[in-house]
Amino acid sequence: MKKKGWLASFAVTAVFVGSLVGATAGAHAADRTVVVWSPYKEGNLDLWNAALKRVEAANPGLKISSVGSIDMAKSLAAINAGNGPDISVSNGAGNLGWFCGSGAWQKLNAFIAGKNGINLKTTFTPAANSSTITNGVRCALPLNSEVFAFYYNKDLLAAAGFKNPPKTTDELLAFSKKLTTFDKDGNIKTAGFVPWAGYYGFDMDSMWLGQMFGTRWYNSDGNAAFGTDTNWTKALTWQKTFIAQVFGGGDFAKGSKLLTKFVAARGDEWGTQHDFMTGRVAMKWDANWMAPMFCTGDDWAMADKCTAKVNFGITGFPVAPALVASQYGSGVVGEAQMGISKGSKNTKDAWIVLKALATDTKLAQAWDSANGAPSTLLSKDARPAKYPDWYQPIYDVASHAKSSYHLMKNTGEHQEEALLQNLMASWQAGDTKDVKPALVSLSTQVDQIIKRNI
Amino acid sequence: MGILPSRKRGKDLVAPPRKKLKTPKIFIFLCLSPWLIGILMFTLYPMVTSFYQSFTKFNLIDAPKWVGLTNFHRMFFEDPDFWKALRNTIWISAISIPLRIAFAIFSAWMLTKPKRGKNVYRTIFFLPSMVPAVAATMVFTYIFNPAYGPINRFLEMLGIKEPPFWFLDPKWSKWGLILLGLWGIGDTMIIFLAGLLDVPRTLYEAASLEGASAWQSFRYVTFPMITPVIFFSGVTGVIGSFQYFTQAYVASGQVNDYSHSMYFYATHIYFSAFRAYEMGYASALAWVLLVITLVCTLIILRTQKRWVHYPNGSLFK
Amino acid sequence: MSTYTPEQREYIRLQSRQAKRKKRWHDFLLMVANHSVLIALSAIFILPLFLVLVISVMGHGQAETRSLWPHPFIWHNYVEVFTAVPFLRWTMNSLFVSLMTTIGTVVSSVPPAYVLSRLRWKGRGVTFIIILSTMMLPGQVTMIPVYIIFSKLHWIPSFLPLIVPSFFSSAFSIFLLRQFFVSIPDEISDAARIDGCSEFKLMMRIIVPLAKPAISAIGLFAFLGSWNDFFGPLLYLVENEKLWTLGIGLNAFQGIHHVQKNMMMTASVLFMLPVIIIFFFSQKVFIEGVTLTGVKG
Repeated sequence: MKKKGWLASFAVTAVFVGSLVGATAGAHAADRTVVVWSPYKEGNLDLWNAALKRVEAANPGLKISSVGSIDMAKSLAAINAGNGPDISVSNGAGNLGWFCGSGAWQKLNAFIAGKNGINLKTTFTPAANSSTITNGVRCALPLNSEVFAFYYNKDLLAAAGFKNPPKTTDELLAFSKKLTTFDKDGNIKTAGFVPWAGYYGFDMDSMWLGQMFGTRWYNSDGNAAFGTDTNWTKALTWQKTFIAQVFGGGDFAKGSKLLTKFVAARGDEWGTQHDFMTGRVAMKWDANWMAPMFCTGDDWAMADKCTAKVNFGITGFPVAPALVASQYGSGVVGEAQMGISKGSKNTKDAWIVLKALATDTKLAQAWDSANGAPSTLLSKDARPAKYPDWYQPIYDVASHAKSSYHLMKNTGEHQEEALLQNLMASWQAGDTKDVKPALVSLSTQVDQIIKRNI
Repeated sequence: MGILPSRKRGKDLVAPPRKKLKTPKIFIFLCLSPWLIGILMFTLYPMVTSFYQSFTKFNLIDAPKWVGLTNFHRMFFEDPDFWKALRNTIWISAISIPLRIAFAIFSAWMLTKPKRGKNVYRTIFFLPSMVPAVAATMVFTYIFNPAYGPINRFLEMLGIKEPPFWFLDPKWSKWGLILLGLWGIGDTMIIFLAGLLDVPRTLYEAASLEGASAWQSFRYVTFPMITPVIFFSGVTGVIGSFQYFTQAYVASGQVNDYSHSMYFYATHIYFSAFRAYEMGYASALAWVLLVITLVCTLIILRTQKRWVHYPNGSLFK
Repeated sequence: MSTYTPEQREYIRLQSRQAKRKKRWHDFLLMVANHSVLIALSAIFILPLFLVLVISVMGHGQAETRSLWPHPFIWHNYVEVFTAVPFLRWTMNSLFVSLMTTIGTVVSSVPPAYVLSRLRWKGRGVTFIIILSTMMLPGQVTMIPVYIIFSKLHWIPSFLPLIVPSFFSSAFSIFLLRQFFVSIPDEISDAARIDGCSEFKLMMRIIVPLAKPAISAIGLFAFLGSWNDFFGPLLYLVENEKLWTLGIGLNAFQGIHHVQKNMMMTASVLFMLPVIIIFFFSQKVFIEGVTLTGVKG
């Protein structure tokens, strides 16, 4: 390379490097700046930023720097690398064990109890308050709820002679038998219901399956309950029976194989090719934030009337027959959360921002109207004036006394959820033949993880 | 009659002795300095540090906490994922290394045959190994998808009633990865091609004069002559396959690999370090990997005298 | 000396003509057989590339139906991929990182290779063996402390952890260059030294120009290695979407809202394209470079 070429490339490199280093250094400006990272984009980010502006207005001298489109994994990586934000937001309810358990989010107990604190009982819903981690340690404030409920295709059910959605797991099985059709090669054409780890599901299928049977995740002594709570065995055995009877004509292996094929051919999760929208599946568990898409085909816009092909209804999860009285009408409800990162240089101001965001009824109301995410605030001002009728059941599910998320402990990146999901996947594929020892082994593993993370 | 000039004859018949220039030590040091700094900063220091860290519990936020052999105890007695990862890694190494070598020899051998069009074939064979691993994996997981991929359609047209689910079936996913690796055989194949072309033609001519068949010619002439290449490929294959990561990571992300059929040792290290932030445990895993790799390499090295034929006599000239 | 009668001579001539014909026929059959196998193998190697090309111009609905030929051809996919995902930015990032890495590798690997081959000094052999053995080290052993170094320097996320180490030599490049340098006759260096040329000038003005093929080879390998690299960007760039390279971008494709499967193939084609083009124009360099690694030690 000639000398000139060297100099030129060196200069370019130096300039670029300099600007890069400058950029990363800028994240830690001094004084009363609070850096807030969130996973929000576009419309939601606008709402979020508007709320942040309100906080700035109420606290002169306080500056907030907001960055959107950053998910939990990125936030955690940054916090661990030492250049994280002051406040980060986690969309997924199950991440508490990950962030709080690892120390990435600071303990807030002192702030909550202090002068500028919050009265949790009178501010937040019971479901939101139950999201603490071992021994009442709090490292997050709730933002808005995600609600997992039961969706059913009214037209398909009516055609099969069902006026109402199934209430019990027995009914669910019976309904599905009638609703499931096969094509001439023997493959599944339409499925009534698919209790299968990995069928859309956001890796939560095992959690939802357990919810139907009222399973407990931890015992009162703090140990994992997978091996001791017999409801888990009941739930998984029911799944096996379901697959065998609905899809395999009594043969589990056959049903499992057909279902594997069926799941492999599922339509894209986002958009009008989703199996529920095309009528390929008649009933499914799903999240509240999928409802707007089912309604109009446009993912996030909440509409008053539904225009998409699928005529659907929303209700609580079917439950085991013995639990109908106490539990029917409930679902799984989790919260988006936000916390103050370890290593934040300005925790006092970060707390001000955090508290303000968590208690901002304007934000809650606007968010609810836009996204259909029920607020975690008890205050009536946090609710929009009117709900679309078709969406009302989500609120019913959210406010049911038995709707909650499973108890969370410091299990890292919600490993207990992942391990449970793996167990269900192995079970449904026929690789795990005996479910009881598998559940006991799962319990042991989870206990080991918790012990390690203390 | 002296053919060689002798010193006694005089200066004009002998080349003057070479000027003994002193070795420019500073120059040598300067030239080596990037490498030297690099090896201190990016190899030696990290190795020492990671060895220390393998005895600690370290999550990047807090200072490392000494825990002695806990990480190793956990690895061998409390971590089913470790055994799964190790089993998968050993399985895929044992199957794909010989397969790749055999396929590389076969393709390279075929490339020596034609008189015309050699370059075209060589280009085609080599091309897939240039493709970025992420893209190649995405393409493979797509075309091998049992529901919408064309490959299974081909197979059904060929009469195979129930083609496997490939990446979606834990029993077949690693075979999908092996096929992916064989598709990218180009870089290994080229080395074998060079090796095959280096075999002196005289040996082949001698063999054919003695009436050797094609197979015998391969078995007794070609094969011994390429054993150094096989040795090289074997060693690099072992080292490489124990670090196998990208294709498995991308493929598992494309399907829900709940059964961890595509979970390998390097995957386990990655998740322990950069998802669970258990740096101490990950370091322990890395050192166990180093030991395993060393042992395997040593085994191959030890046996090489017996089956590797060196034209110059030995590995170290 | 043997004598044949004219009849015997004629007979021998006939036999050898027949033998020649038979041989020619056999050769022909063998050639057909060889080419058939080669064509079959070529088809297998080309098939995935052909399929990805074909799927990349299919409509979304069709892409999921195991079709083998697009109906119709949606060339627009190639435009749409730039709006659906920040493809241009990913490409620019990949290009920048790869170019810088190439420069770093070449600049820092030539001098060590030079002194390891063109000069004699004590410890030369040992150094070479050390370099060889570092090639065998599993990256995982050094990965974590290196990550920690970079994180303490606040270089995560940025391109620096990917570019800076390339300026500290690559063992593989040193090895390859050294093999080539060794093949340049000593006389050239000796003549220059006797003429009073400084070692530096000798290296830069004489030896390096002679080694253009090898340097091109390592430059190309460095560029490709960086272009295809996934793990490095995964570790150091993933937090900041603006810094993503093509590899991470492609991997995250499906998570990016509303992107279709067929466009994933379109993006894959575009990702592979530069590599394939570079390869076609520099095949010789590649193949010679790979052969230079000289497997016989």
